[in-house]
Amino acid sequence: MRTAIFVRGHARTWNLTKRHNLMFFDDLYDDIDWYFGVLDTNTVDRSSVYDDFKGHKLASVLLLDPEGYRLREDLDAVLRWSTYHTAYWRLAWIDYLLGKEKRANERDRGTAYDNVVFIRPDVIYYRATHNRGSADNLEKPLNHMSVAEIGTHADVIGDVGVGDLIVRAGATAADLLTLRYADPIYTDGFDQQLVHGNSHSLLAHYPMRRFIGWSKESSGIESYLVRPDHADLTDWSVSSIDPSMRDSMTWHRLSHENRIAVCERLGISPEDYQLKT
Amino acid sequence: MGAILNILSGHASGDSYGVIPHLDGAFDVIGVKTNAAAIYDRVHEAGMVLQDLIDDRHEWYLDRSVMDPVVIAWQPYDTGLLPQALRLSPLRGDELVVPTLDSRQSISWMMGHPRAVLLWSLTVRNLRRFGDVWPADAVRNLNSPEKNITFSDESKMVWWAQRLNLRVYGLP
Repeated sequence: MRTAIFVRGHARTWNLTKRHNLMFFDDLYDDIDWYFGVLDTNTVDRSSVYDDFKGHKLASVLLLDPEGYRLREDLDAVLRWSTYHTAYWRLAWIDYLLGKEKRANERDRGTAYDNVVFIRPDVIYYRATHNRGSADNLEKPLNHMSVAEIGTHADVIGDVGVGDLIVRAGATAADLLTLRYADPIYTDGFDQQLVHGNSHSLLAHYPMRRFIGWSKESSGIESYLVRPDHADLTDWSVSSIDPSMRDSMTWHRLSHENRIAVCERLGISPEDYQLKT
Repeated sequence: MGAILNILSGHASGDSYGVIPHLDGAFDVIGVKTNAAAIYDRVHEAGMVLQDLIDDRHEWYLDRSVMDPVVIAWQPYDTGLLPQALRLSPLRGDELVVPTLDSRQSISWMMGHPRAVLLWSLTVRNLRRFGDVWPADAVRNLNSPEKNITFSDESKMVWWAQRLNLRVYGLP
């Protein structure tokens, strides 16, 4: 099985999660090529990323100028469903660019990845403690047109939504996911075709529109957001976390100034959390 | 201006792209040189060139629904119906046009909105998985009319576009 792992988004708490996540995925898969794509802030730089991946195969590093993302950003408009949801579309843009890097590598080597995992820098990953599927399935390639870890769940308003912390995809499904920035659903000039819902429902709609299958039995990775206020919690192992890590909302209730102070103490750029200094 | 990505087997044609007739200079004709044997791999390489092209031209606006169509064409260049297809433009973001939907016929071009062509061309190489078995063995062994359907390699690519939920039109 040839595995590519895309670490992408804002770098945020990457410096807290990296050791754990590299160890976790190394334990899970042989022969991983890592693709790292984040917005270019002060949290990481090219040199630090290469240091982080010493001893691992780092296939590509993209530190992206936020100006390269061309769609309008306006939080109030996003909440009214009247412009592009940044949490979905900007990540789609990064995946689009990393997807180009992946395909170029595949062409040069003459082989395609049959297992592609899309993860975030500010999340830690564990084997699921409850039995959603077989542990063996987690280590096998998916059908080329299937995804795992996301499914289709009805939400409170009857829409569908999925978690956006991790997606695992078979070969063709992975290419389709990297092309969602070029979603052909957008026609006739009607913005509503792209702005409907939130990042969770938009991500659920895309595999359904492309008839990508969901392999529930191959899903078995738990994910926890690591907020900056988790930094001082207990040390983590590959098998367990501090239960306090399950609280990802306290961070949002801190004052603006406090959040900036915590970020600066940890060497995290406040821009990674849309905090203006 | 739209573009025609002209897949050149091997590399011998050099910079001579005069093999696409009937277009009167309305399109940029761009050669895609490849040694790939399977048509699926050749189309995939054309898709990679197309992606670079629209990225480099900064034509890549997600919020732009009307874009000039693009064409991927391969040998033998039977492009007589292409002008008829071009009259269907502008196309929606999910629309593709081929000379025929008859699965027994070979085709040598696919036209469409850049977003639809990109999605199709960059995922079509998975058809290698089918090898010479088409339809699947399960269907062949059934006493069903499907087992008697014949497919050209190119029409399998049309099926793939439909599989992706893209709209594919054949010319009458």
